[in-house]
Amino acid sequence: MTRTDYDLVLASDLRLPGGTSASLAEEIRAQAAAGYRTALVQVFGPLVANPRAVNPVLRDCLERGEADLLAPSASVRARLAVLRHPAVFQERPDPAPRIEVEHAVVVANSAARSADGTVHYDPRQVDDAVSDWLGVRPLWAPIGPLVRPSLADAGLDVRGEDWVNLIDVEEWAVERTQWRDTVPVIGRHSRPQPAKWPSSREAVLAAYPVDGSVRVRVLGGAVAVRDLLGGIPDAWEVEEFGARHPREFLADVDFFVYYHHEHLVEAFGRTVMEALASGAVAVLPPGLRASFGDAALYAEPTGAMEVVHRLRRDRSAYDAQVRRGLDFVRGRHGAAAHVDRVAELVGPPATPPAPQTVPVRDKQVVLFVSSNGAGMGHLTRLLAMAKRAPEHVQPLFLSLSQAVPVVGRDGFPYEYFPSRGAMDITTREWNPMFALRFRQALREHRPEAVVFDGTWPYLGMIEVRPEFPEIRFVWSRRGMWRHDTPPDQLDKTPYFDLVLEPGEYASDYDRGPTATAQGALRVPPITYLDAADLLDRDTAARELGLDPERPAVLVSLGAGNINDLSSDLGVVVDALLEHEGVQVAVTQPAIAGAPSAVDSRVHRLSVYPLSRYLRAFDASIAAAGYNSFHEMVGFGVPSLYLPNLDTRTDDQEARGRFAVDKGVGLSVTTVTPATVRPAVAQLMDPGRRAAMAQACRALAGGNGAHDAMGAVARLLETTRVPA
Amino acid sequence: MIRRTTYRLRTTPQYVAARRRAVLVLRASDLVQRAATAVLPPVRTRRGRSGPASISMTGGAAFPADHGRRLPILVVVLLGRDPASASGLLATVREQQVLTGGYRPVVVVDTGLLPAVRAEGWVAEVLLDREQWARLHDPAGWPAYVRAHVERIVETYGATAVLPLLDPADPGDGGLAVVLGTLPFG
Repeated sequence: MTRTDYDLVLASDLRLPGGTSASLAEEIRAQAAAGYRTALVQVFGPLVANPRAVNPVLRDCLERGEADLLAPSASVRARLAVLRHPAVFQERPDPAPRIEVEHAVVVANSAARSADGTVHYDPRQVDDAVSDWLGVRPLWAPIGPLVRPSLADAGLDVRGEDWVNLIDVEEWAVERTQWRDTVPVIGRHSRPQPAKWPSSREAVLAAYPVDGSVRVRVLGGAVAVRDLLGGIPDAWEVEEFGARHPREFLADVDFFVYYHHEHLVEAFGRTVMEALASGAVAVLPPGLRASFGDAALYAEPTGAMEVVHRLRRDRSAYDAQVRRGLDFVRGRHGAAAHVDRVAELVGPPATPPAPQTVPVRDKQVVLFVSSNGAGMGHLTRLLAMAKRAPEHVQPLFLSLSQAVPVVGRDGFPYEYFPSRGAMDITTREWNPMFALRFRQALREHRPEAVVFDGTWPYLGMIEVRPEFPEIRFVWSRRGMWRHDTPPDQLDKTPYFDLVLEPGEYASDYDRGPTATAQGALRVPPITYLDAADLLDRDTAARELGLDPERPAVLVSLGAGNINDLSSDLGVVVDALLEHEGVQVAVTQPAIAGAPSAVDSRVHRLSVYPLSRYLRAFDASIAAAGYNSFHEMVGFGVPSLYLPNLDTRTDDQEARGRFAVDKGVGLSVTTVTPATVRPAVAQLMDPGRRAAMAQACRALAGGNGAHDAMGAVARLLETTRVPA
Repeated sequence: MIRRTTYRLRTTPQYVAARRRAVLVLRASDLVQRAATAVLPPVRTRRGRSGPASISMTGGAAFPADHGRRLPILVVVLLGRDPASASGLLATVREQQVLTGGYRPVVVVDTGLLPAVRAEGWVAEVLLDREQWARLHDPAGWPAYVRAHVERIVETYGATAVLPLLDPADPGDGGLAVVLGTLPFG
């Protein structure tokens, strides 16, 4: 057995839902931030009967490296053991690691017995069990004044000050500049047990009216009062426990009105603290005044609505009460208060975190994260930026696109994580998996910046982002969203230090939510190559096996089979082959199924990057995605666009209209021989092509990839953390 | 309710038998044996341990779309392999998957093998290869990097077994085999 020293060992049943684990997590975070080294011990107590995983909030702590989980076979030495939830320690834990400690504290987060005499634990028995396990007599610390009396007569060593729970106010605070509705919106959040509700019908209906004078929202279910009320009132908006994060729920209420069973000794009420931290005004039973003082307002259930309506009529009084609540939580329940009490018991951290063995890196890593999409647009824009990174920047890719191996062709390291679609699972399953994967990438590679290209910043990314404040986050977000795209994704803008908007030639036709969005740095259209990178016509044609003296048309449409006249590709190729002497080059991925009888004038292309060879072509027929469109226009290739109308956000139809209106191309939205033939005939007209090429040249500008990467590099310079 | 149902499913004799059969058949494969046993016990399986239920991901192109969504998940670690040697191993995994009808693979590969895995319709993850890792970090840290990811995959996908198909000719992979051997199975 190896011996490891820790400042603190925290022991409890880590599987418990609700406040116990949440409070434990807050303490772990505070300790880690202060430099205390923490170990966690799982104790299989009697409160959780069935196999269950450790609470996710504690798993997150372990995942972030804020604590170690001790194996039952471990033998460790620590300065302080904190044991939370006495009912878990009725018996000496088994299995349990061997722990040698200087001090032990039993945090009593519930009373030993309820007001009706129900015994939850025997303090004396717990004291003996803990002493037997750890070899020291513990100090008892109630989490609030309502728990303290139940410990008084047991002959315990009880700490003078309460061991109050912690909360990170900044994480919970919600801006409250206006009322949620035309009537007061009240809410409550609790676990679904009957003890969390008043015992009488009158009290329930007085505190949570059904007459429409207020909106009542419940998180945590209301089954407990179904029998009492003869059903759950239709007027209530009820969500089950865990249906969403309490932070989101509290943001939707003006008042937190919390009444519980009169026999319940509510030790502290973490949900009340969360409500205060979110800035909701709490209306509570008078018995909780000892815990929350003037941070909340108090009334019997029958008087609760009077309090609510009085503050609803007086906004300044409401705002003042909100401030009192926030001040209370910040001052008494902040991380600093916890660090102080730990220091009081064991002094400063004795084992400052070992300096990380960071290999000497002379480059700054920028992690480029691309979502998947209908095409390769996201990945290509990021590659275009990475190729133009300054010497001191090392690009690294984490992509959800199966096309990610192209990144390797440019010599960049890459990782791939399957998209939800590739796994064929639900978003609910996928989101937490991605969060873990993303967090792991940030911890392993320690990038100075993350550049994400995609329309939908993933929930996992947003969740993980606050854990890495030193990393700059950049959102590369092209415009031209379809007009019916919900604008809610733009609400994620504040999570990014910089929003880049790759330019769009067709921006005048942009009717989507980004067209009017503020705060983005708009750069010229981004293409993988600069015009100077393109091969001349003779060289490009020869390398592709084409005759530079004869007209050549590039066809790049994605899926399809050229022998299948029911496919867009088949229709297009058939129409082209009606023209004498034309060479048709079809991109390889498009030739699905390897046609058996291909006309000798049809060439398969399997080159990368395709745009390097564009000068070999007199025209192209392509989808109207970002990449194709900006490469064809930017490099002056007259084109017939076949917009993909099935994309989620990309408004390809608008690009097609723009091409027609501005004379840079043609567009066909419904592909049939009847619509394609005349369009191809125009495309094969040298005069029309010359005019289109001229219109393209008039429109084309520089490559925005330089500007975008430059902006990222400047961001690194201004925020670099000194070594 | 779902957890309870899953728990019951995972404890049924049929489920346990199917899982055991898949593992046994894989262990009996000559190709797999030659590839894996040179470096560590061929299959590390989760025993006597309650983990999260497996996700409902696809089993790949060998099955109908909604077939086998609750089959055990097998993590195949295929690192340091060139495409030629990998294709034979992937074919074996596919063949045994069909024969046993007993598992859904998640294939962990490094640079270059993603298209081959995706062609089977299997879920894949790509990690940095040893050389790419060394461009960013201390080269000695690569085995731990792989282990951390395999462990995450086991936990988050709800996998029941890990099959390391490392390159027995690469002495460096011995270190990787050792760290994979410390995964919480067995």
